[in-house]
Amino acid sequence: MSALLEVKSLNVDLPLPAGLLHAVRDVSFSVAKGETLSLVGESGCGKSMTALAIMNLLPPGAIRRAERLYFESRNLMGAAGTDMIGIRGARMSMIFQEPMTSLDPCYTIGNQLEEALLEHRKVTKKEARDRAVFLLEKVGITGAASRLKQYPHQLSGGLRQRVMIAMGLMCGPSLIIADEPTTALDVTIQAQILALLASLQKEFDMGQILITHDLGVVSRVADRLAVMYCGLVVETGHTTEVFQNPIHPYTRGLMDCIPAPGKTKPGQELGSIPGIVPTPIGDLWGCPFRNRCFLAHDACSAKNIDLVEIATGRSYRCVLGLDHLAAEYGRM
Amino acid sequence: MAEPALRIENVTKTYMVSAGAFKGRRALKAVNGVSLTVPKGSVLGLVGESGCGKTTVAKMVLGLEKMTGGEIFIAGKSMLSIGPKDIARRVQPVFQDPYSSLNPRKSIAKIISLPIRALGLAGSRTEWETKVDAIMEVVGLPPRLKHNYPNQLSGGQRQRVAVARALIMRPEVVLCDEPTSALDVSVQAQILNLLLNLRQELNLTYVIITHDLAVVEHMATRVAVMYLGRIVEEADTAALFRRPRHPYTQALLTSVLTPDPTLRLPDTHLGVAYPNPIDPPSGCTFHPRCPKADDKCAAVAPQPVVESDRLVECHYPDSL
Repeated sequence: MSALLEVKSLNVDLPLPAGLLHAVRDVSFSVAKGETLSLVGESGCGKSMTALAIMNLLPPGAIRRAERLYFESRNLMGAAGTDMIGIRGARMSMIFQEPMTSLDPCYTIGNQLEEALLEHRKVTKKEARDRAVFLLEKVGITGAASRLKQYPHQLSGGLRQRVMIAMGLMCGPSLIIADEPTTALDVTIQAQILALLASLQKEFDMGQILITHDLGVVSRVADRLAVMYCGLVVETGHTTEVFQNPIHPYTRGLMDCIPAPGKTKPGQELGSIPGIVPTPIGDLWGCPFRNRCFLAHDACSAKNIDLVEIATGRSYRCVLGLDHLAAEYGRM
Repeated sequence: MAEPALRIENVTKTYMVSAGAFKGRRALKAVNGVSLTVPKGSVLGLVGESGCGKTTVAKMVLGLEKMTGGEIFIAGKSMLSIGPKDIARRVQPVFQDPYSSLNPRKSIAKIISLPIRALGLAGSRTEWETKVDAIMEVVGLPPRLKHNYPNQLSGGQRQRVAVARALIMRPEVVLCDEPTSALDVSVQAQILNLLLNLRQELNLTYVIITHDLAVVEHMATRVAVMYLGRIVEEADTAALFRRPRHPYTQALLTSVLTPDPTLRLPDTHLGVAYPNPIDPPSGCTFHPRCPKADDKCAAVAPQPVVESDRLVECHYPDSL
């Protein structure tokens, strides 16, 4: 089976007054139908830029390069602006992070929901409205028909996020990109929204890219994940494998940072990664994590560190060998 | 027994809000009879969904909002009897977002020393600069940053500045409102460790307001769960996490997504809607979302029941 989305060696550069910011560097992954891939990382690691690059929604001036960027066997790199219009919103859609700011306050919910369908399909106004009501009910909004006349400010955060999800599904896309879909929400609603996304994904057999910094969310939802740091993918693998046996020192550090009931003792010192995330501006060489890594040595400043594949879909980017890393972790 | 660092007694806060054009104004009970005791040296975690009134409680403790009813005592002194400067000397905040809570036009030394200068405790410039140097070392800020400005600092460093500013007066209570939620994961742990270490070294008392239950379990000695302006359950941290008895606490705890790929997404049975605080449901305010609710819950508001290790406000709490 061919992949729904195939990304090979994607690069995004942003020209800034201070120099060229390498937001995304050599990122490769694929997403199959019905599968959830999670891009994990801290703010500024390039995960949102990767999503925007796929959607061709990068800020003006940004430079996008890729060896391969295929979606449903169509080359997105070659797709001109008009081609993207037929794909974006119709075949792949994005759920944005902030339901507070990404809905237009001047238009009703119904207006915004129906817009994509009226644009992409030959449907009557009534058909579009029926579809909107159908999806609003699907995402668990009661009194859907009357909600269509409401404006975003009349809805709570959880409801707005549900509207965003319904909006993403209007045209029945095959790929959905969810950028931190639950970050702005309360924990009780977060679980509901994620469960909802998962069941809709199953029902419509969609591929999903879930972008988040929350390892708890990733562990429960994703099939596979790619950990990003400073624009680079530093580790990939199946969720269970990565959580049970993180290879890259950064992944390991991240996992030690979170207080986890049952794993960390209350009141005890948490593991932490010293230092801060560097900004990838200008000429870059070596491992971006070397300044914060407890295993760093001279070889880490080498020109380029390649992603080492140790099994299908399982890879890491570190100069140290698996045995060496295992020995270091065993000693801790 | 020694006076607790902070005692909140049956505090209420009612806002008059517009109910819509031409509809006049209605009362919104943001905090509806909250009582809490925080002994010296302990850490109270206050948790709840957005809109439950936890930040309003914080504002009243800081003296930034006047309470409508009830009384707050700091180290035995009623807040009604002391002035704003005396309140500030005893309670200091650490806010959520270190990007907006530090004045971008002031140097780090000026920001940290503002509380003591404002209260006239600073003395000469050399005196307060010595104090700033000392506190910067305590929170782990390199002294060279003293004359820098907030925009030159990382998120973690800024939050350390906020902690230093809160501690410079050695307040009775440090009130942290979501101290880590604006920070990156790898930096969050640094700040949590700092707060824990400082507590041990300086015997500090914290009130930590957060929606992150993992942080609460890690930091707090006692936890109070708020729902629609009321404390619905309060217990020692270990007891509450081992055996939550209020259905709302149970739902909150099941919603926490611990990083564990062997588990699936939890079902909280909560339904969607957090009720509108202007129109709180009758009886027990939680009953429309509660899986156990019956006619009694819809009609009669439960009274808090104090048991051996906790307080719980429910007609049908889980038995021990």
